[in-house]
Amino acid sequence: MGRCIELVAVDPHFHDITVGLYLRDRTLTIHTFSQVEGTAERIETIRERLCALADVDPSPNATNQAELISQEFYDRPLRFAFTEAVEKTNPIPTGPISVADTKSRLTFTVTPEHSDELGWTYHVTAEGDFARPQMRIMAVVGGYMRYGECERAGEDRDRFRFKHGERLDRFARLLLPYARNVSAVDNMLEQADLAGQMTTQTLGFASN
Amino acid sequence: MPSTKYAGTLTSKERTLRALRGEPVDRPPVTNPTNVATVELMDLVEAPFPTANRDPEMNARLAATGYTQLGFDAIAPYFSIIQESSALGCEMQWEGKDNWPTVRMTRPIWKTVDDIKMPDGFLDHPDNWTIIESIRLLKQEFGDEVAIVGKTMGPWTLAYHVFGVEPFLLATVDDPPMVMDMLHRLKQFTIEFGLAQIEAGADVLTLPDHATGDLVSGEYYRRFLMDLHHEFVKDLPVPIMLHICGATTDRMPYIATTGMAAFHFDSKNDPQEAMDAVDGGINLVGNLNNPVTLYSRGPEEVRAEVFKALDAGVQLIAPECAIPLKTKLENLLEIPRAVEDWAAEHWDYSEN
Repeated sequence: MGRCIELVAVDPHFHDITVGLYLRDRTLTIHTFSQVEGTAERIETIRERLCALADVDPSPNATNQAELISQEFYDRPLRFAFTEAVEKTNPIPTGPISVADTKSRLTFTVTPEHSDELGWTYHVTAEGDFARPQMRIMAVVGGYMRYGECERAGEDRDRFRFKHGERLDRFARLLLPYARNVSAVDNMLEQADLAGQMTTQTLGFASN
Repeated sequence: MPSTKYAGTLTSKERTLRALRGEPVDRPPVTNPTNVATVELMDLVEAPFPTANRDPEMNARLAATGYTQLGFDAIAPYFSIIQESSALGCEMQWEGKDNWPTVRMTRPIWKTVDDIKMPDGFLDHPDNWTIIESIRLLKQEFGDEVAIVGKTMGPWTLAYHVFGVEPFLLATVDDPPMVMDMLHRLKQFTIEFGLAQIEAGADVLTLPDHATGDLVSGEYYRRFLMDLHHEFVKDLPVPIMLHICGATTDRMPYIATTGMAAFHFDSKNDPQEAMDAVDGGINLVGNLNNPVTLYSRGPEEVRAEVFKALDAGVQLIAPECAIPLKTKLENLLEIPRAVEDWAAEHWDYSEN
């Protein structure tokens, strides 16, 4: 199966099974050790959601596998996508890549644009009532750099691009809610990492 | 002195017990003084938390995976640190599949030393009986092949649970003689539960006593626990692995005098410094880092840490503490592989 890049300990929508995402070469495999009836169908559903959330395509010959389509392997975005694929059941949005800010009354929109020099870049804009929208836009671009391994596009502070100027709209859409609020997401990730850890802190045997 | 490739000549049980007695082994054992079960292994044998902590058959099934799936040289069925405290009446938070059951220490059950009394049916309480019965099942199934490691909590840990961490630590400052009295009375639970596990078939006992580096100094260890721990060696007639979390090199010289078979130490201690601190007085078992190396890194980093411990002379290799429940199996499988490869590289098997 390859190396495990993410484990979701509890699938809240299917008997609390544990589901893992594994990578070998450019093939992702979704695996569980559970033998509960209906597991294969559930894994296929997760695979379909993963392919809708991330820039990966379903493998033609297996219902539990997907193939990378980006040149690079994007670790954190794939882990976000897999966790959402297992834990959430909401319809996956289509249309413009847009989300409301959590810290202002702005709404962000991310638009893919192509140039010969940079390849595909993503332009972040904001609409709404806020005194300094540029500050929030820069923060969103910073969030893409943090979680999407993206880079600033040229001199502009309101544009980013994925490596090699690839067009990865599914990742761009997936990452926008995370990119708008880095501190909250970092806290969430830290808490998620602590779950299931036995440490002096989690046991209450420590002073900090 | 690299030579012939490693080929095991001892059973896992022999390897573990010989290492704990300080006798020659065919390679350092990979042991688990504390939990190595994960959420994936729970699915594999249909034995999820929290039920696997409270049902003997599920408990035994899950514990056995440490040997059958991971290739460790021991099976340890007591996954958490709360069974006795539950039997004593502490308020429990059992959590779900992906988290550890804990004692609600903010709601202590006892206030004074006179509250410490052995409840009727302590060993028959379902949460203690689960471990005893699980050991009996594991002994029947694996008794000749692999070391069965029981666990009984020391009086310091029990004091945190029944009195609360803060009240107990304040008492160590305000009234040290009373604290000594408390610890001596709490000792009865450690011994009763330990003896019951030995009778059921435990070959080894882990004795966690959380005088941790974060909260308690080495001098505290010497004053309050060193002699008590020495007494356990006489009271519990199997090799004992003492477990204390945190930075503990300041108390290792004291621990080395207790007569226990091994000290299970934390990755906050450098292996070479730990070996120097115990100076041959006790075996060391550990100290692979959980939150970073085993949880979030890969097999290469695990292997490097195994080699570092073995290069320092650590006698038994193990994760530093109960592993995170979401630990990736590939990292756990790498531990015995790395030990075998290290032994093949460093030990001479040509005369075997």
